Amino acid sequence: MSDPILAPSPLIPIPRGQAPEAPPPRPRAEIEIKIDGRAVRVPEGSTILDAARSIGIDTPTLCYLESLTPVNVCRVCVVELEGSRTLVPACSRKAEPGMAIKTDSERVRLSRRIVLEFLASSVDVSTAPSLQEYMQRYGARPERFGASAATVAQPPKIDNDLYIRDYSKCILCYKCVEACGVDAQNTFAIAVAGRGFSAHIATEYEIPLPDSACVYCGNCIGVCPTGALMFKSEYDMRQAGTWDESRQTQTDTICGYCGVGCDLTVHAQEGKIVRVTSPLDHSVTHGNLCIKGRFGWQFVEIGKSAK
Amino acid sequence: MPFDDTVNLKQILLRIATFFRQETCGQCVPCRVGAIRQQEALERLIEGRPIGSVNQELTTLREMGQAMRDASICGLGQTASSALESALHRWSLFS
Repeated sequence: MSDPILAPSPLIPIPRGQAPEAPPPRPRAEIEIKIDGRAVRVPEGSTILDAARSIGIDTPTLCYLESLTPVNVCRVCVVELEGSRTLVPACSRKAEPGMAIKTDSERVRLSRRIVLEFLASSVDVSTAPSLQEYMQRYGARPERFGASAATVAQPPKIDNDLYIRDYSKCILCYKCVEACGVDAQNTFAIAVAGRGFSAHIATEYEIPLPDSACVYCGNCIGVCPTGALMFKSEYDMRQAGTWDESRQTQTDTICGYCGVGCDLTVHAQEGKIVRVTSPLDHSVTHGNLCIKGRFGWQFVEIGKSAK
Repeated sequence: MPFDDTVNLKQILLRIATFFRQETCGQCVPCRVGAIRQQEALERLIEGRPIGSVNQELTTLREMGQAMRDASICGLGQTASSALESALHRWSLFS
């Protein structure tokens, strides 16, 4: 008679092989560049933006985000590189030994100001606080192009209950496209369609969002710098004139829907949840969530009213 | 390109500006918006309805031109203002 087969008990340690050790990180060589006359040492592979930030130089960025591949399209981070015919984008240009950079020359300030004037004269920047701050810093006067200047004004697209798309506020920074694609979600529901001044963000064949490949993770909203993509809850409150960030609280918690452990920041106004974000620097989410973590909180409010 | 003195230089410039407005791909801001603002400013100058003064419009055009040349990603945006700037520099077309 053979021995009875014992079910594995949690009390009996399961023999496991030794976990392989991670190879030691290859030391990155340091290189030296000059920024505004100051010598800066940065690890090889760093960008000019990294180097500038390491010595406390605040470089404006719109289309750049730490968690996304740089697309260098907004051109607001341009800096002057000695020996270069044109200005170069700090967000994507890698630092090379011996580079001499000027981050606040007349040429740099002019290009940054004009880029901001171009954006603010063609796009509604009323819900883009960082862009407004840059405009002040560089003295941008978008009104100089007159009231007849062409804009991308159009009615907002409201075709679902979770978020709205107001492309009259879109600066075409590509962040939503990247977050929807290989940089985070791999859903590829949206892309840039059209060309020239008519270029815009669209679903395939411009079909409504509910018919598209969108999975409503809302990661595009998380990266949008201008409020073109916005929670429906926030949009409705703004329309009603009740949205007031000064009266909102932010509470960090862990999403309870599954075991991944995504960090949630719950924004509430007068005790009512108004939107959910996730910290960009969190090791689990890198700012990304799924539909449940991002939008699955209405039950909290329903439960309250049932009491 | 050589022109004799019978051509309407303003119309040639407007045609070039329209060309760049149509040809910009729209990827970077200086070229996407610059090409259209340049054409708008030129139209205003040709129609004699400048914003502020003619000089103000010429300053705007020069500043836009420099930003497009300095900050555009590719050669199209970097050269979209060349013909206009060169003409304005050589001749007083609008004063």
